[in-house]
Amino acid sequence: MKKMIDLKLKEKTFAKSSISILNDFTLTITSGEKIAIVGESGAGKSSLLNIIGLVDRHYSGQYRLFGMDAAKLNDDQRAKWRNERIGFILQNQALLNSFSLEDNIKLPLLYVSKETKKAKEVWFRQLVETLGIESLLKKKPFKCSGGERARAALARGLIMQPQLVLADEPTASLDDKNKDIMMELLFKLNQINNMTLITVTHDLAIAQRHDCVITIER
Amino acid sequence: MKVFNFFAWRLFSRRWLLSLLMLVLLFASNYLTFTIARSLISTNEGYRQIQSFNQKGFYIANLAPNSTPNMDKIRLKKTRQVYGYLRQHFKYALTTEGFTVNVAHMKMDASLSYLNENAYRLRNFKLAQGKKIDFDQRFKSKQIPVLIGAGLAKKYPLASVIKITDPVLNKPVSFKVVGILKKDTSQANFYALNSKNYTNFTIVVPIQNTFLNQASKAFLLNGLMDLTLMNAKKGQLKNFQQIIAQKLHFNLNFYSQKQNNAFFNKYYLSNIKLILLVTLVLLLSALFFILWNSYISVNLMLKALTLNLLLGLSYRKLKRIFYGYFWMLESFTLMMVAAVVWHTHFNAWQQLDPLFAIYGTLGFLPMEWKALGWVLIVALVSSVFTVETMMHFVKKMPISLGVLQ
Repeated sequence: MKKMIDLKLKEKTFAKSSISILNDFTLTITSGEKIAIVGESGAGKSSLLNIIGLVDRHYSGQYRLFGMDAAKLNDDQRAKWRNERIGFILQNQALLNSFSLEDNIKLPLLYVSKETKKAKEVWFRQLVETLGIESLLKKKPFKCSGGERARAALARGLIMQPQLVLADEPTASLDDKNKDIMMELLFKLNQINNMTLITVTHDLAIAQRHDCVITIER
Repeated sequence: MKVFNFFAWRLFSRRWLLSLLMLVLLFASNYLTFTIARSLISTNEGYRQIQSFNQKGFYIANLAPNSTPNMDKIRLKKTRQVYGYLRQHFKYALTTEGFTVNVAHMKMDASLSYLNENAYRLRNFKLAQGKKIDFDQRFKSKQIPVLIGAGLAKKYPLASVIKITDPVLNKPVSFKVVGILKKDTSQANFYALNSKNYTNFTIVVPIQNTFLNQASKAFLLNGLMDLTLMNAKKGQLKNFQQIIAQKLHFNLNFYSQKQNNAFFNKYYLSNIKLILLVTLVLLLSALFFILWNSYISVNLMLKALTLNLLLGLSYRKLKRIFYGYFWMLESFTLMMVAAVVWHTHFNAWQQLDPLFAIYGTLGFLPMEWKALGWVLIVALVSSVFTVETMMHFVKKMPISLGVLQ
């Protein structure tokens, strides 16, 4: 099985702070795996996702993603990979209130060619139908319920059919029905498309449905 | 392009008040820069134009302060006596302007510029067509050879005849067009080197003594006001001033062009230093507010920017977007500056002002193109400064999943 993520961290520190986390942390993930990350607040779960998602490059250690040394990627390449190969699903959805749900979902398509955008249209239709939000596409996020917004944010994270999805507490503040919709789709895509999934969660029930649970301690 | 359109029209322009403020600040700084640059370039051109009058022995008349000619008290006979004295004792250049006349087939009145031979030689007109006026021939009342401006040449080409009622002689005269001045030829004012009259609708009329002997009192007095004595000594000047005071009851001072330049420099430079200082302060203030405005904008758009950086926007692309947006606003303000300048020129045409109607290239005089060049340089510097500072603000913001929570 192909190694997707090969991370060997010495430590992660923060500017203007003596705090150091993820000391001597190693992580190897193969394509198609489902990994849950749990731990107390401040342990470094989100920081880990920032590093894996090529958002943060201020750490000491080695990180290989998709077989490439992340340190050798320039700003443009990192942005391109974040766009095409990595999907982000955020806890508070982070939708832009001045744009419709459809515009929010299609935000990653701003950075692709016309042809790619056209090609994703069919997948977009399938996604919104599966998530049951096709009638809400013209609505602004502040006019939607928490569950509807969460599904829109999920659709945005999946619109590019990424190889790797990073979900940071995607089901926090959702009811059971919406939690199920969200996780079912993620696991389905993991199975069908061999999409690698890394989920940060406090929900142990959800964590246990993954292939592996990693606990990060302070 | 679609990324730029998204940011420009769907993100930045939503903060319309900030965008409007940015436009106002950019317009203010561009217009200030343009005005100062144009003034300096125009002054420099003025120095060069007046250079021929800056010779040893040259003195230019200037009405003394607090001295006002009383037209009712001045007699034509006395005025002619002053001119008699002038002819006897001096070599002089006489230029009289300010008379306009209606010319057939022209909407715009023509401005008449009467020059004697010395004044004509000193002016050294550049011609687009034809030849210079030959003062050796006697100018009979039939067909006086004239030079005309480019605006008149459309209806009156070379060798054509212009018939008018001369406002000085009060009788019909015929002018034969022997030369056409280059488009937008200008003449600086002796005392305000940055101020110019344009000759597009001017008829340059040569005058000799026979003309002066028939000229009206108003013309003769007008002629004294800008008189240039070409070979005068200080003692002679004093005598002439006394003659004028005795016969015409007003005082004329005579200064060399060097003295005029020095006076202008003192007045202009001291003012321009103040204006430059004020402009610099205003430009720096504008730049400060532009930066402040940009900082506020970035902060207000923090979530949107961070999200887009997460979803595929790179810093390099974002910088290009900022430059693109800044230059879009700059282009708009540059067009506003251009519109203001064009409007000024257009007004001269609308008001049929023969001394200020110009053609230019695309409506701009060469000095205005140069001034625009300076505006572009200042805009370039401020754009680099503003965008690089904005990118510094943006890069200081951590892109992280945590920021978006």
